[in-house]
Amino acid sequence: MDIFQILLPGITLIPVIGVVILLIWRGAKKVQAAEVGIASEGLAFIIALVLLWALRKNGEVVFTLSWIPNMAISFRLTLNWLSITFLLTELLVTLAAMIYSLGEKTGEKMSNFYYALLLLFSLGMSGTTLAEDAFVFYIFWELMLLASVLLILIWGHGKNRDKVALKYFIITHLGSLMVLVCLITLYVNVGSANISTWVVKAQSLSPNMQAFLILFFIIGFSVKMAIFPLHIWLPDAHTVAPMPVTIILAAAMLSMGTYGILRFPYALFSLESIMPFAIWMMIAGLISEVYGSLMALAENDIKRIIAYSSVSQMGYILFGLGTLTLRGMQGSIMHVVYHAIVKALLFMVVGIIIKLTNERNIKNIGGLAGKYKVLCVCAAIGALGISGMPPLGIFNSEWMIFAGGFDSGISVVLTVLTLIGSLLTVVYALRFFGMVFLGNIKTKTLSEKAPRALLIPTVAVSAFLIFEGLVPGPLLSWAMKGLAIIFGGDL
Amino acid sequence: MLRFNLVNLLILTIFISPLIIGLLSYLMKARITSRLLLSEAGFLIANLFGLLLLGEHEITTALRFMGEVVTFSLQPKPVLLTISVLIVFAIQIWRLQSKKPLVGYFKFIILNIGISFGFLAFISGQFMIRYIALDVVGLMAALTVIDWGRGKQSFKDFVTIFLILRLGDLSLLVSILLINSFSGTLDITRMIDSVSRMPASSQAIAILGFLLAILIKIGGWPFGYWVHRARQSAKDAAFWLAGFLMPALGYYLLYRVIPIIMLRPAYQILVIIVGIIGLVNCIVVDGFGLVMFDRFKYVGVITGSILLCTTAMFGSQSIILFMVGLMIYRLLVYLNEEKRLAVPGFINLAFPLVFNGLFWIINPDVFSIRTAFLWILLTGLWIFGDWIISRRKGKKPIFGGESRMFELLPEESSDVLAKGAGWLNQHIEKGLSSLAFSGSLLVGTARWVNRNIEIGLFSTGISRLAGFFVKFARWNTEKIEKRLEEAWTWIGKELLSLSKGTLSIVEVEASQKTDELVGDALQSLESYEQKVLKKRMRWDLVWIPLLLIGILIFMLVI
Repeated sequence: MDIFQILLPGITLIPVIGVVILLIWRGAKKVQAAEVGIASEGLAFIIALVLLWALRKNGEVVFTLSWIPNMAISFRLTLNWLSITFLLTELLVTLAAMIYSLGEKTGEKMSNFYYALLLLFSLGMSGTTLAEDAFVFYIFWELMLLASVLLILIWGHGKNRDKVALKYFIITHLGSLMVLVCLITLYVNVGSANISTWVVKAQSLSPNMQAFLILFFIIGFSVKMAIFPLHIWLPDAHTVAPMPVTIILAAAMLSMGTYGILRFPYALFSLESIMPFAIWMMIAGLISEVYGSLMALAENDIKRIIAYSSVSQMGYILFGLGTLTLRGMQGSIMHVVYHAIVKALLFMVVGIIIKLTNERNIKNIGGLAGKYKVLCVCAAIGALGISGMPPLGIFNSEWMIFAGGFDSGISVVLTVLTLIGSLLTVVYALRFFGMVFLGNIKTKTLSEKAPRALLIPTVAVSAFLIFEGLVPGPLLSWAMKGLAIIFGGDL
Repeated sequence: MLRFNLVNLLILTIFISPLIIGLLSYLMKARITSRLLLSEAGFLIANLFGLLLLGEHEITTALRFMGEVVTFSLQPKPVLLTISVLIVFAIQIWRLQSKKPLVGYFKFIILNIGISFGFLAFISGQFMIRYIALDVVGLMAALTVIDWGRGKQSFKDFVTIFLILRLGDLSLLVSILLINSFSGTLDITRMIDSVSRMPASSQAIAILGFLLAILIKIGGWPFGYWVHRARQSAKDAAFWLAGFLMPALGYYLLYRVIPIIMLRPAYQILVIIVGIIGLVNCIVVDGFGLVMFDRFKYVGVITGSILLCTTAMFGSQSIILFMVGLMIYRLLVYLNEEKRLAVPGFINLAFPLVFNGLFWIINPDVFSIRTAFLWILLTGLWIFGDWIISRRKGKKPIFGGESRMFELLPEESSDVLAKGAGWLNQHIEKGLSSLAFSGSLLVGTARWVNRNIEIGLFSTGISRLAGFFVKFARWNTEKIEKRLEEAWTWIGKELLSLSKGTLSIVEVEASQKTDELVGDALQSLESYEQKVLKKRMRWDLVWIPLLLIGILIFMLVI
């Protein structure tokens, strides 16, 4: 076992240590709890960066620990070029959200529990990304859900938070159960929980069984992606959750659905088996893209506007996955990352606006540009970013998704519609920006300055968005290598 | 990276210097006077002339965009077009003759970003880099109308312009990606070459995408509306981006796609028809006094239409020179309208005649009887179209869907030609009016086109479309989102009641039953125990286990 193999479980172990410290340290103040949380998450992030270097050398890092030998279950983690993209995104988003939390009121009571749950939420996502054993995968998958539900339930806004949390739990859990059915079916048929073994043996299953598994996997993961009409949990959950949790939900957790689709149906079955579902994925993606944009356009609650924009953006990703082409899927993976950055930025901006104005109705906000110039610039970057304006990142991923649509030869019309439909994104993004920042100031009480604790991470994310857009090379190469793991030379 | 030689140095200088000048002027709080702008323009023009003298160059850089090598294609023609646009800029500034700061820092920086990326769009050899450059110039052109003092109104203008330009960019992207998907390259020359091998349906989509993008960028019919909006909001130097640079980029895009247009006669006819529709629309609409916009907008439409027809008829022969001429014509009209240059009325009328005549003289080989006839017709329509628009000198353009009939008084015409034309028009119009059927038909058509196409579809239509989206989105919220919400709530309720039922039947009742059963069992055990305890001990039965142990030992030993 080399040093990298020892380091790999550190990504899951360090947050666990952080959680234990926080649970023991009951009297911890918010800053102290945040320090423990940020340090744990930061260390996990550093380890992931170190392992990136190992990936360049070895191509894969594997850690295995025997767990339940009688049932062929082991604690197996694998880091490869596909998982690294998702892992770094989740860790970075959680880290940014934890730092952003410092400027928020959320978590001032029961700070240790709050940061412990944030760590568990992140741990759930990291574990899901790294798991190479179906049993371990599902445990982490559920941990992610439980932690987020508790965060909404305890620290959510409004009286309805319990109902929203329950709704979020039930609907996303329905998706999880569909995934579970697939996992159990595969486990029973293959006789092992090792996903690597599944990759070898899954294609020998009967065509009907394969079709059933692909369908259930795609629907199950689409719930997590909040694809129309399975998105119904998202607007409420995003609105009620405290802002740092919303950031993690929108920017990181939604990507888990994409990862799931790539990790299971795409990695396990042949392209021929998936082909019958491709056009339906593209159609669902297109509907979600347009529907989400229209809803964002109709909404007046600034938090819900950005929430619905996630439904729209996930539509692009599903469309790209549905193309079954190298560029389409590369674009989808890149879109996950870019969307995470833009969405984190936009929610951070929204958080600051709510903090400054104490208002969420867009009609009651206006004219902030004159008073908060830095915030205005960040919001403009976010609005242009989500609109796919070059050289900001989303442009790179969007055109690859569209190119994938043309490459696929499935339907030129669908691709043209998706491309032209992206104009709606520009409309709602500009409406959001214009109504909030231009015109006359409508709010009676406005804070003098935007809080620095909130503004600094927002500016950092804006800068990162520009950087990612200008230097897309590494991300493109990771996505390419990640897809090579799944498809080999098939694409 | 770029190898260091004179060509590369000049390219870097032209691209970077506007950005540096913009940044430095802001940092040093320099006054943005006409002298500064003229010096900058002069510097850039000198560098561009340097490039022009160095001839053709294909530059392959070590830079890659999304896996594709970034290349630059330096050809004298596009460089010439760039120079002409910058000269137009310089003349525009020079005629301002103002010593006051011309623009604020915000617009000056925007202007400089526009210049840099405009240059990039002209010389890029890779389509995606050109697309990015065009998109950036489009954003900058739209940003020029932002006026912080005007608040939301200027933002509305910005949104309108940006949306229209973005529609053009997206249609361009459709064509680029479609061809790229077929050719597997982003190199412009190779992409254009590959179109001939594409299936007809894909070819048609690609050409429609290009045509839409070109029409929007040059401000051609029916998309000239955005130029009008930009003209109203962006003043003087800032308007150059929307009024001259963006159309010039559209011209150049047209120049690059000429091989595609010339692939099939059907495409040529399509382009000519689009051009003629634009031209006729201007004449009909203006002829019946339904004019709403400024003359510059209409001249944009007319010149755009003429260019489309010329391109489709003659291909790339001397077309860049033709484009340069059109830029000069636009400038003359602009300066005249801004009252910065008194252009005699006959020049406006003589210009198309001389210009088109020169084109014929330079390229006599390309003219057949058919094209010559069409050429004369186009020249006539150009002169006529511009003449009827220029009659509105001194009158404010009407905007907002109103229609207006102009009284055509010969006294309004300032020169002999205009008077003659006015007389002709008056009599022709009278003649047309006397023909009840054709007159009413024409007036009706003109009004219909004006109300439904010009105003209805492409001016107020844009805002109506936005309104429609909002309405549709609201309807969607009410009918679909809410019902889905209700459906989910219903499912939730049902699930809850089902869960409650299940809990009551399966969990609670079963548990009670189990409790009862367990209780009964425990009770019977206890009573049995009591019964057993009451009985006397039978010691004789002890022999049974002892005997069993004996048998076990015996078995083990044996």
